[in-house]
Amino acid sequence: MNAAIRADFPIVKDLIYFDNAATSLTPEPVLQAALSYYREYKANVGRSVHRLAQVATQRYADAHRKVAAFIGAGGEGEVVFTKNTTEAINMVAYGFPWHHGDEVVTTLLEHHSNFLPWLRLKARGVALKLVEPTREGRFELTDFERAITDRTRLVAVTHVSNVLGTISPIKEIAALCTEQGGGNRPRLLVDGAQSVPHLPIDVKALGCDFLAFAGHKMLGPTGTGVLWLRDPQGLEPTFFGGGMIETVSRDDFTLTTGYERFEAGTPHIAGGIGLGRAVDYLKAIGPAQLSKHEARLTERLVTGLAELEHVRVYGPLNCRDRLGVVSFTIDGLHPHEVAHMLDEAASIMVRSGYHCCMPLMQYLGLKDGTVRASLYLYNTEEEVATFLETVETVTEAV
Amino acid sequence: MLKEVTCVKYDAGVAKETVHEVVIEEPLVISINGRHFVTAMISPGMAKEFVIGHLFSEGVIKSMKELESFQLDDRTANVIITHPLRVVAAQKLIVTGCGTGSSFLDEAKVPKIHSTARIEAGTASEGVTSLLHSQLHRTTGGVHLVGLFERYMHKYAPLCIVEDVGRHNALDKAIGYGLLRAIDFAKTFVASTGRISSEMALKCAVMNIPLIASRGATTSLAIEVAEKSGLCICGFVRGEKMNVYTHAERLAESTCG
Repeated sequence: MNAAIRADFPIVKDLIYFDNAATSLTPEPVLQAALSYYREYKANVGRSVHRLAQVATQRYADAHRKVAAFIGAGGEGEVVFTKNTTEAINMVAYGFPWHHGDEVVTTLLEHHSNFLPWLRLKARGVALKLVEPTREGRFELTDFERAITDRTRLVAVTHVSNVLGTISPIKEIAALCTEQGGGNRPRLLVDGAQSVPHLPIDVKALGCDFLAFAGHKMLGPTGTGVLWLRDPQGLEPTFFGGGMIETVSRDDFTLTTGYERFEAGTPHIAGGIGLGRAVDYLKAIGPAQLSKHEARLTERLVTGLAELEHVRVYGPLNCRDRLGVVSFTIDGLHPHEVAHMLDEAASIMVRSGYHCCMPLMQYLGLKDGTVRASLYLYNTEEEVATFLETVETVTEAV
Repeated sequence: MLKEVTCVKYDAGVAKETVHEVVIEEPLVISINGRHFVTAMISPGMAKEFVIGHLFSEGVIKSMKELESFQLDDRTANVIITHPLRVVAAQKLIVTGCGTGSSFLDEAKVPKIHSTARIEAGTASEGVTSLLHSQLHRTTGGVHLVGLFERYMHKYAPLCIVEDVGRHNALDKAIGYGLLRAIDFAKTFVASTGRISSEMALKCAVMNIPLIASRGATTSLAIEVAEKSGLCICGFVRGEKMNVYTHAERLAESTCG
């Protein structure tokens, strides 16, 4: 990646940011887009007729269109802006037409945000079936085949593990859902929080019904997330109030169409507009170019860590079908200690702990969790080299 | 483009109710940065091309990068251009303020065309002739046609032929069509069925189109604009005949020597 890109993220001059799976940094053009809303045309959207409201409404709608095009959904379904991935998944859990006895299939690889919403449905008589990954984080399709029955209404699976970096076989799982056939086909929800920022995504090719992801992990402002729904009529909105209706009488109302149906109340307008700009930014670089850059760095990172004594790497060492989210531990050190030492020694920011994946940590027998280094477009080979040297120094200190 | 209406036909003192096809004319509101800019009466279709062409040829924007958002909502085109608070006023800027000279034009404000293209008279003539084959033109006689011809290799080929109730509208649509395809207007020429007014000439000058040819006449002010901008105007193009009013050097030597 060139110097111009790094110049858009001034903070990388002072430190090494390897916590991209938690949230990415935000480039200057995105900040400018969000600030320009506040400075130049701040107004509520979809309500007033004055010129600021018109400009704000149009830009906010443009942002939805840009995001839709980015995930290959142009013209199909609806892109709804949410607070984050968690809110997007919860909207499905709340609005889906559940019946007592229905089943949800999910996996042990999931982030809590794609786990708790389903676990909570037990109280409504919806059973949860869990597919276990291998210790590397891979799935056997036959496990899904066994788990999906004629009672399965929804299959919820992460596209990329936020702990192990593995890529799930979404297309194949979608095919299994279709094989169930007819109107009872289980719907497929994909947690794209770790995939959409890093991989070229086409919802039509993936074959999913819902795609939830985070704007703040793909250069957008915090407080931005997205839910794409293939069939907006098939989901009841979670929130009711201003901006989402056609008419309201004393005892009835009719919902409007479009994304507004699911975005009751004043949305995060600056955030949405910023996310639209972030998508422009990523598009200008090109998802393929971005993937190539990250793959090179990931290879170096995984191989380098695996060569170090006292370091255990989790997830596949083979870099095919995996992304730059790399978990490891150092014998004799708590992951939090390692994270602290990396920051103190070389200003390297990593995440440590359970990564919101406690069931997976229990399954892998990692009682203190892991240290997680995660990469993005502004990271460099030099940074990876510094990181590896620093980790080695830390291991020598043990 | 067409609509059937009833009308009373008079022929040798005999009135007869009948049905006739007329071209549709409808309003299109252009709103810029949330403010009303203009309401144009145009033929249906190519609204995006029209709006973009119009904004360029009227000097509102000078680059596609300045066009940040375009949204067509029924009969309103909502446009956002760079800097949301920029005040946009139609810039009819070329009239002089002194009023004493023979010229109405402020030469400094007339755009200069930069093009080395040489176009054969026969090519310009064929361009005008090709417009007249339009089915719509023959059915109603109620539309203007503009063709934008682009040089490819060593020949000119039609990039688009546009019909509209207004000749300015048709030219704006053709310009918008070219802009959306990022063509080099220095390598084009325009053919038209209508009169070449100063506004038509000015739109060509703004877009760096070196030549306009028409079956119709031209005006004194159009000639003045053309002289100052470097535009070649060919009027009354019919068969092998035409009147070249300005910048005949833009015609290829083999045909104007």
